[in-house]
Amino acid sequence: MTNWLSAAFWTDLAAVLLLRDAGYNTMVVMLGAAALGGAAGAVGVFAMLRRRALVADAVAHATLPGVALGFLCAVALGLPGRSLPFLLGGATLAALAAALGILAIRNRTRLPEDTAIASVLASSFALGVVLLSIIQTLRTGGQAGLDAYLLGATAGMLRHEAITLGVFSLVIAGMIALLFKELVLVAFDSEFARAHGFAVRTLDLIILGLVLAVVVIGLRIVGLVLIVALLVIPPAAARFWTHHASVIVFIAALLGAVSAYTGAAVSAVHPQTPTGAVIVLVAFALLLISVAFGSARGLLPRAIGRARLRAQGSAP
Amino acid sequence: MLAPAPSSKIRAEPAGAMTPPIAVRDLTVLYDGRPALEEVSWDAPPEGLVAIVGPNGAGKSTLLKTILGLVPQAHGTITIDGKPAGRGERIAYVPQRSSVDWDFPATALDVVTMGLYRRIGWLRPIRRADHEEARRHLDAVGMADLADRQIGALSGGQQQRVFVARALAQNARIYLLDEPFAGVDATTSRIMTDVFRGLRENGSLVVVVHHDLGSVASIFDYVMLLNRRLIAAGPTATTFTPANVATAYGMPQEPHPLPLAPVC
Repeated sequence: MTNWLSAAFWTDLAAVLLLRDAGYNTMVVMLGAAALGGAAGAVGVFAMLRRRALVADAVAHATLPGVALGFLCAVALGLPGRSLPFLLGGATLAALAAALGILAIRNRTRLPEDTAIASVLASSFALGVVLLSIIQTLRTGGQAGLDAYLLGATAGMLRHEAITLGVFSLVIAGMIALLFKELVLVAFDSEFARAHGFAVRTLDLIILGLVLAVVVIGLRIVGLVLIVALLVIPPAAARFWTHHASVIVFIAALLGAVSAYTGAAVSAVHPQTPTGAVIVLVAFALLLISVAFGSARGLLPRAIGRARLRAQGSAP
Repeated sequence: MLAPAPSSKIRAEPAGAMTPPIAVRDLTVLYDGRPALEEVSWDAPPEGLVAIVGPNGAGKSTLLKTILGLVPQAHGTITIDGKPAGRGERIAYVPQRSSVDWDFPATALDVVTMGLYRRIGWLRPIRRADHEEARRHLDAVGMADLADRQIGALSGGQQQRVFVARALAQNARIYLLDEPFAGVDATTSRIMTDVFRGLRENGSLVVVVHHDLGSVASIFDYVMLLNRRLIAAGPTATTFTPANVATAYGMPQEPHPLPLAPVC
């Protein structure tokens, strides 16, 4: 066990964070995680502004049965159960099914959207838990590694996996740069966007697709239980620093990248740590700092502004 | 370069015939199965300022949204400049203030620039010239000084003027505005009236959902009285009569109102 209070832990962590003492593999994994965190933060801005955070959470939880079915399919075909294409392919299909399920429930039944989301989230996660318990009884290897998809892990991650995740994240960043103006428009005022001749449904599908991509790519590092945090917390924190949508995207990407990078570094020093949990805690710490000190609407700058106004008001 | 010969389709239309910019025929719109609008037929005047007046729930906003293609129609047709209503840049739109998320990370200038997006085009970045044009539209509503304010930090009247500036940026010939005068200050009211009159000078059609009966006659050339059915429509002087107003506001709210004698 690593002693969290020992000086050695912190010096090791500092060395890894600064890439001084990190092995090549660790370095690649950390940079891959940072790329994912950045993409998640940027995509999360649009999920937040278009109020799709809960859908993202449901879709993430719904990947569990997909991962389990992917594992079972791979085993049935005589392949190693934990092959990435099967697991992520299963996750993608399950996430799509969940998104369609939410839409169908909302549009056909008159149940409110949050009810539809909560039912799909819980029931698909339950299905995943049952499938996992079946997998545990199989006499094939590799079941243990599936835990990584629940809470995230970077230990044992291969270099080419990390590079794949990094490249995917950069593709996502490129799409946001290309569609930035349209995505902001639909998030701000979808009726105006439609009246103005923009394909709102297509843009909504693109936002959902980006969210889905981040969820699936992030499963391996952050885990499906917590990935929504990486979509929600950095944008929420970024909102405290600026009133400009474009700047929010940059700050959210930066905060997401820093969180994921730090999480991966802690895992490198202390491999038993669930990476996803550390990433989320770092992100939350950054949120608290932003709430307190954010230059646009942080509590402290606002208090100072009010005090200054009052001082001017009482001046003779 | 010679322009291609005009297509025979365009030629086939009767030359000089006044096609109304907006023509509504037998329009019925349902909300949750109940009629919000019933068999409304209306030809907009070619240009000028039109007030849509009627009690709450009369379907005024619904009519605007149906013309814009935002609400499905159960029955009837709408044509814009003689062509079936689709969606497009031909109509500028100012939604009700209550429908906007004022916490959104956008400045006044950002919002006005959105009115230019159609002309900037898909996937193309916003250029400096676009921001300069947006600034000119803000200036037209007396808001140039506040261009860089977050929209939530503006007063209600200033917010309304930002959205009028966005409509100006759309550079359309038809303007639809949903209750722009609701709860705004006197300055905003005066500036908006001037802007609308300027648009009329340019030959534009400005259709405004309006709640203040007292100012209808002083601002608007035409009026449309609506209460799920069309009560009356025409020039303000002849249409905005106490009798018509009483019919529009006094009608019972049952699903099947008493049949009315046609009003012209």
